[in-house]
Amino acid sequence: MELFTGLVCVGVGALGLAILYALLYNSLIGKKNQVEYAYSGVDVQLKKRHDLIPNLVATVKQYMQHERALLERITELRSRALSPNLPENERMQIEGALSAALRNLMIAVENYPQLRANENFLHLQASLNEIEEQIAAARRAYNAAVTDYNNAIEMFPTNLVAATMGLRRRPVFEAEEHERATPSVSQLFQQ
Amino acid sequence: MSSPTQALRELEPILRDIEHQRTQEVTAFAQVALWSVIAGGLMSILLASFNLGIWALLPLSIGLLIILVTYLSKAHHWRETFKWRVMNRLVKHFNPNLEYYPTQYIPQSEFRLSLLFHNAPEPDRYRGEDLIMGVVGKTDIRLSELQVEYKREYTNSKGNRHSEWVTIFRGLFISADFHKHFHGITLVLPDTEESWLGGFGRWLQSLSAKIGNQPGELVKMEDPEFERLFKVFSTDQIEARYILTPSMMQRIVEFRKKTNAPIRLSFIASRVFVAIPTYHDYFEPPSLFAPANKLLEPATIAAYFEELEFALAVVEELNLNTRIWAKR
Repeated sequence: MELFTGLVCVGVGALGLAILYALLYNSLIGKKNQVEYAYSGVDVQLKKRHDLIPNLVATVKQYMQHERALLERITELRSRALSPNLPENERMQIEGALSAALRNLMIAVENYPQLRANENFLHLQASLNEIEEQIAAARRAYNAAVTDYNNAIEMFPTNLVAATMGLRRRPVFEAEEHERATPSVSQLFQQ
Repeated sequence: MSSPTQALRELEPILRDIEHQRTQEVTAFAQVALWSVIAGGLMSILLASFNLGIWALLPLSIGLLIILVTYLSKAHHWRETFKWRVMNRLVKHFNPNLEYYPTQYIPQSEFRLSLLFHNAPEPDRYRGEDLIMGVVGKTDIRLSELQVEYKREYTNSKGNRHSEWVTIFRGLFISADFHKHFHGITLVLPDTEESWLGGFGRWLQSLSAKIGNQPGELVKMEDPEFERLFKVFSTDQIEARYILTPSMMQRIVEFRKKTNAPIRLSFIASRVFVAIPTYHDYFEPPSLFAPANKLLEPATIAAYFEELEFALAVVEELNLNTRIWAKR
């Protein structure tokens, strides 16, 4: 009889642990998928930007004779970002450089009043602002999902389950060095 | 937009006219009051000599009742005159693109659509006044005062049934065109749990979204000051951040400080709805018995301009006139 009670206790204990494991396992999978979902959100917006760039370059080219180098750099960065099998972090670096180049382009536009009167360009500029705003939002959503996921991986008791699943910390998007620096006005005038 | 002093200068004839009216009304009221007291008082004294007990006070009470009714009707009339003749024009001076409707208000359908109080019981009494609408810069805006209540019935310890009116919302309700397109629902509500329960409060909030108490899911924002004051629920995590950019969060925090009230915001169908709870009654005339020429003082007019500025501040504070995105 005592042996039976003992067995029941062990059985109930094991079942309880299994249920707990399953719950923690599922919550971790949920968080991992949330991160991937958020990443795809960033991806969608970056693709939209890639689609916009050829149009933008074609529109401004005829007006901006002195910015050929900048335009060529933008086109080149875009094709590099589109090349398949690019490692994730390298791709993000290229996208960061592309953001910076586009920002410079929008500053350079100030020197071309004709361009700023062009309805087509104004439309493209609004679209670009829109996409940049969406990219920023998607990045922040991604960072929030990653923070949630990283917390789960490092906090008790989910960290024990995460270790058995082989889950690793994921990096959050950080502002690039040149994005973080405060723009200096004199530099802007020299461009 | 003209300054309060300019408005005062241009409105002076009208202000003098209604000030004259007010003095006449006050004189008329004083006469009614005097005669009611004298007549009622004399009759009461007369009746007192017939040993009628408490009934002797009846004529005096009727006299006082007449005074009260006269006062209420005069005060009502004065208020109407002020709103239709002065406030109306002050709004136009403040911004020619705005219209003022003293007796109208934001309809209940719009209040419901905003989802700002979607967890409160269904309102049993919905009242409002002072509707202002028009276009400020590029932003279409509507606002009014609202008082929304429901009737709570309960049985006390002695078994008697009682009912009382409970306020769901009282204050300024604003509906404005937002400067970005969006499709989902995002609610920014005052944070009541997390501020004192910390992480557990946050867990409760996310649970309340999961059981369908709030639309969508809890959105955790990275601005700590904003997170301390508000909780955000949204049907779309990315869209919520598209609307609530870091600068927008700071602007909302500033606006919250300026209003010094637990404001609520919702972003639905490319519009922003803001509820500012306040007990101040906006756009009201000075008292019927105010000192002479109070309406003609620059400070009085400036105070109305300040009230208008406060009510319409949301456009500037939330930067709604900046249209650099797809929505122009």
